[in-house]
Amino acid sequence: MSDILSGLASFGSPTALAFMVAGILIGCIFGLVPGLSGLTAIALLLPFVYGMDPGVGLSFLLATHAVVNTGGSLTAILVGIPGAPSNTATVLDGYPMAQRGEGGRALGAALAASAVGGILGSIVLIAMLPVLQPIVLYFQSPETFMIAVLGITFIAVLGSQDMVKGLLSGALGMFIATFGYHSVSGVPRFWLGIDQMLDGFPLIPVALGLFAIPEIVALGQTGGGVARRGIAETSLRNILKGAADAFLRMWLVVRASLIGVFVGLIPGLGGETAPWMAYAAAKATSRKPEAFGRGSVEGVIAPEACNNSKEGGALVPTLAFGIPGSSAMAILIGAFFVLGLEAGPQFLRNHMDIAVHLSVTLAVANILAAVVLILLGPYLARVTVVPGRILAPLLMVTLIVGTYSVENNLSHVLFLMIFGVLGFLLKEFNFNRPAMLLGFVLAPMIETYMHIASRAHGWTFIFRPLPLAILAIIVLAMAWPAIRRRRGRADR
Amino acid sequence: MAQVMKTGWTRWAATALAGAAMCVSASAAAQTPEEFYQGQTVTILVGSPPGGGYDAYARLLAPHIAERLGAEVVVDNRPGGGGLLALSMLADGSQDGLTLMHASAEGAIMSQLVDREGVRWDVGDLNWLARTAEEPKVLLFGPDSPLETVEDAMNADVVTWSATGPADNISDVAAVLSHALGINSEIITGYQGARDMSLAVVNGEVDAGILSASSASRLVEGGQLRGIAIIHRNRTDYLPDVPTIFELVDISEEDAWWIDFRAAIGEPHRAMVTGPGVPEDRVAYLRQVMEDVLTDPDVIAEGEESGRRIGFMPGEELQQLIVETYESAAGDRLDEVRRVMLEDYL
Repeated sequence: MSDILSGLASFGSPTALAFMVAGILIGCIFGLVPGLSGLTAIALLLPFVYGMDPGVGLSFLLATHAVVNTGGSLTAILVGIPGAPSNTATVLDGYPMAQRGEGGRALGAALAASAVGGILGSIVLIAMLPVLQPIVLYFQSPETFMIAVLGITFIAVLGSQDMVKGLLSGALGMFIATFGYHSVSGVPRFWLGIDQMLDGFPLIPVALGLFAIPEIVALGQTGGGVARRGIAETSLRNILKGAADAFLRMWLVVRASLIGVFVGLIPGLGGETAPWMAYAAAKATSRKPEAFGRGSVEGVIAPEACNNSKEGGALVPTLAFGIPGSSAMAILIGAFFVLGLEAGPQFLRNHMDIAVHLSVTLAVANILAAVVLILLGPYLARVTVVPGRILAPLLMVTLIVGTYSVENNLSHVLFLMIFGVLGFLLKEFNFNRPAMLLGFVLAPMIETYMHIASRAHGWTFIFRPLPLAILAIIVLAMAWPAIRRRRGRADR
Repeated sequence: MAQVMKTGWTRWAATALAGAAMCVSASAAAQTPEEFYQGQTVTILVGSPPGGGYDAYARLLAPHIAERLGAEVVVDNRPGGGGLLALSMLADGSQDGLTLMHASAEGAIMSQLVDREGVRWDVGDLNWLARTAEEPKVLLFGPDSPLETVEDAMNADVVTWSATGPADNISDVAAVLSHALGINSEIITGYQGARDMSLAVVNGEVDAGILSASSASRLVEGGQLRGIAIIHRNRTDYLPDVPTIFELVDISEEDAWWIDFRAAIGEPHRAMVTGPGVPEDRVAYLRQVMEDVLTDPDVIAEGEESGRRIGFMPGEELQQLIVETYESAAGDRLDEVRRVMLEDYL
C-alpha cells in the first residue's frame, strides 16, 4: 500500500509531471514524422537522462515511447504512412477513410481508441503487479509457439477475399523472413556474402517499404491531395464524432486491448504482431467484414487500441525480470542501467513504487496525448488537401531519414527501396501485403519456438493447458464455416 | 607562344609537386601521436544498440579519453551480425587510428575459432589497446531443478541447457564443461538473448544454464537461480560465496585443459581495439592513454557507482594473451575444439 502511495506521490511531483509532458510532446512529434519511431526516440533521449532521478527519467522515456503509437496513427490515416511499424494495420482502413474525406472521423476514432487502449493496458499492468513474476514464468516456449501459430491463422482471415493470393503472400513473407541468421543453428541463410545481410531484413524498412512507398508514389502521381475529392471533413466536430464511434464500440476496444496486453506480455513475440491480430479478430467478428480494407472505422479502432495497450503488456516481463517485451523495452532497460537501477527480478521487490509510477504514467500519458492530438487534429488534418506533388517528396525525405536513423545503417535505406518496389508490385497485382507482413514477422518465432518446445518438453508440449486451448480454438475456427454450411443444409 | 606556356606550366607543376611532397613528408616525420590526435574526432564503435553493456562502458570512458587525447570522442552504435559488422568496419576502414571499437574480445576470438561467416580479419592482427572488464562464467541451476550439485549433473541421464546459438559464449562454455566433466548434455539453442535464456532456467524449462558473473549475480541474489560453480581457477568478487569447479570436482589434467582453454578465451572479455593497419606509434600512444584512463581512481569509482566495474589489462599483455590463446587451439586440436563446441552437445 505504501508503495502505491509513494508511487503516486513520485508521479505527482512537479519535475516528474513536467518531464512527462515534455516526453508526450516529443513522442507525438516522433510519431507524426513518418519513419521515426519510438525506438529512435528513446535511443536519442537516452544520453539525456544521465543523472536524472530514476522515476522521472524512466517515466520521461516511457511517456515518449508510449505516445509514439498515438501520434503515428495520424500519419497512417492522413498520408497512408505508418508513423511506427505498429501503426501499419491502421493504414489499411484509416487511409481509405481519409481519401473519402473522412480523415477527421478516422482520427477521432483512432485517438479515442488509443487512449482507452492505453488506459486498459495500464490497468491490467497495475492489477498484475503483485503477481507479475509468476505470470511471466508461466509462459514458456510451447505457449509462445501456439500463439504464433494462432497469429499465422489470421493470415487466412486477412486474405479471405482471395484465399490463394492471401496464402501466397503469407508464404512470401515467411520466405523473406528466412534471410539472415537462423536462430537455432547460427547459420546465416541467403546472406549472399554481404555483411549487411547477415541479420536478414529488419522490420522497419520492410514495413515502411511495403506500405508507405507505394502510397507516396501514388500520391505523387495524382493531381490532387490525399482527399480525392478535395473535401476533407476535418473540423473538431468530425473528430469528436469519430471519437464517439470508438466509445460506441467499447466491446471491440476492450477485446482489441486485451489482445494487445496478452501478446505484449510474451517476450518472444515482440509487439508488432498484436495490431494485426486485433485487426483480423475485428474483421472475423464484424457484421460487415467486406468493408475492411475499404475504410471501415472498426478497422481503425481495433489496431489502434491494441498498439497502445501492448505497451502495458510489454512492461510486464520488463519489470518482472528485466526481460525486454519489445525492442523499445530493451532500450528502456538500458535506461534502468544508466539511472543506476537494476532491471531484474529484484526490481519489483526494491522499487515497487517506481513500477507504480511508471504504470500511472502510461495511463495518463496516453490520455493527454490523445487530448493534445484531438485539439491539434483539425490543423494537422489539413495536410490531406495539400497537393500530392508537394507532399510526396517531403514524405519521401522523412521516410528515408527516419529509416536510416534507427541503426545508422545505409543498407536499411536500400532495403526500404527494394521493399518499396516489391510493395508497389504487390499492390498493382492485388496481393495481400498485410498477410505478407504477418508471415514475415511470425515465421521466425514459429521456427524457433517449435524447436525449443519440442526439445525442452518433448512433443507432448501440445497437451499443456494453454496450447491445447489455443489448438482447440484454431480447429474450431477452421471448421466453423463447414459446420455452418452443414447446419444450413440440415435446416432446409 | 604555346611552347612557352607549356614549359612554364610543367615547371610550375613540378615545383608545386615537390613542395607538396616535402610538406607531406615533413609533417609525417615531425608529427607525434599527441600532435596528431589534437583537435581530431575519434569514433568508438559499439557493435550493439545503445543501452547495452558495451555501450555503457564506452560512454563511461569516452569523456575521459577525450580529455587526455585533446580530441572529440563520439560513440557510434553499429549493431549487426552480433558485433561482426562493426568489427569488419574497423578492420576494413581507414587505418589512421581515429576509429576505435569497444568490442567483445571473447566474441572475436570465438568467431574466428569457429570460422564464422563474415570474419575477414585475424584476431591477432587487430591492435588490442586495453581490456576494460573481466568476469568469469558461472554454472547455474534453477530453483526447482532436480539437480542440486555438480555430481547430480554428472550422474543424470540427460541435462538440458538453454543458449542463444552456437558459439554464443554460453553454449560453447556449457559444451566444454560437459566434455570435461562427462555430463550427458543437450544444449537447446534459439533463445533470443541472454535474458530470455536465463528465464528458461528460472522457470524450469531447462535444467541448467551459463551466465557471465555480473548477470548471474543479479539472479542469484534474487533467489531466482542457484549459483553452483565458477568456471575458472579463481573465485569472483561478483559471487564470492560460490566455489570454483575445481574446488568441487577432481578434474584430470587432460579434462582441465578444456576448462582452462575456454576460461582463457573469456579472459580478454571486453576490450578497446583498433584496426590492424594503424601505425605503431599511434597504437602505443593509445595504449598509454587507455592505461591512464582505466587506472584512474576517479574513473574506477564512477564506474563502480553505475555498475560498470573496471577490469584493466594493458594492451601488450592483452595482445599476447589473445595470440597465445588462439594458437593453443591451432593445428590438430582445432577440429576437436570445433567438434566439442559446436556439434557434440547441440
